[in-house]
Amino acid sequence: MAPTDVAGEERGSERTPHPWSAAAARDLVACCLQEHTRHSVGSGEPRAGMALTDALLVTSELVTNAIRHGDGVAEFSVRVTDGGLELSVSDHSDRMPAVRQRPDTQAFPVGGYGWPLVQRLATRIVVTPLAAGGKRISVLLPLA
Amino acid sequence: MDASSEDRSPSPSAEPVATGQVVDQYAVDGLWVVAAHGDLDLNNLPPLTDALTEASASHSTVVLDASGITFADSSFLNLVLRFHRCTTLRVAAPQAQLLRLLEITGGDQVLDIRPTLDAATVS
Repeated sequence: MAPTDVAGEERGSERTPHPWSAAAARDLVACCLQEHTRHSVGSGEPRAGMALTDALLVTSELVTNAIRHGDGVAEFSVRVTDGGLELSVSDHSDRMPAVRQRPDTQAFPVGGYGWPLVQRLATRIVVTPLAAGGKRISVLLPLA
Repeated sequence: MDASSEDRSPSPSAEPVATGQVVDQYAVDGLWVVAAHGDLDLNNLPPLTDALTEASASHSTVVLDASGITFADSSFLNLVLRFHRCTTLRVAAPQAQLLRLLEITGGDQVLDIRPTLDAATVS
């Protein structure tokens, strides 16, 4: 007997809810970075502070975007790699993030700052459509 | 003024209006000050939105005391830009994190940012 004939449905049933708020995600990132800083030798305080500031900002933007435009956060993860801090946020929407067009007459419109901010601070951004629907956005932030 | 005395001024000044833990409001030298506190994101902006709405409806100049803001993202920036359009808004004493947000987004080029509350309440 085939284990399942509707792959999407099986994946859907395995998906556990992740009630991530931007604040909860920021807390996790702060913990991860502070743990890393404690164990790394020679990392300058000012640089570590700036890395934390930028990481919390990018985390907040990605999670807020997932909540506002992506039907909520499906998964969130953070880890320190050789290349820096890797943040990964999955949501339930297939819509890709986009930079909002700004009319020439509006130099500083309200809205549309989140994604450009992520693009400015990240050294790598990978957006992956997920087989079960939704997408995962992974970004790498420099730590040194 | 005696620092230890309790200020019972009859005018609606100097006495913070309790509007929850995120926002306080008070008058300084005839200017209305809205003081925000803590980590601000989309989830907890409504009290500040309400306070700024109320303040801008009844005062031509509003000072946002940002010294108590420990974190803010672009949701906060959008709110401030919205009120910057319809009222004279001064952002007072932003901490390093908020300055970083304003620098990255270019918000520091358009907003009236004052280094201290005193600098924001001079006429």
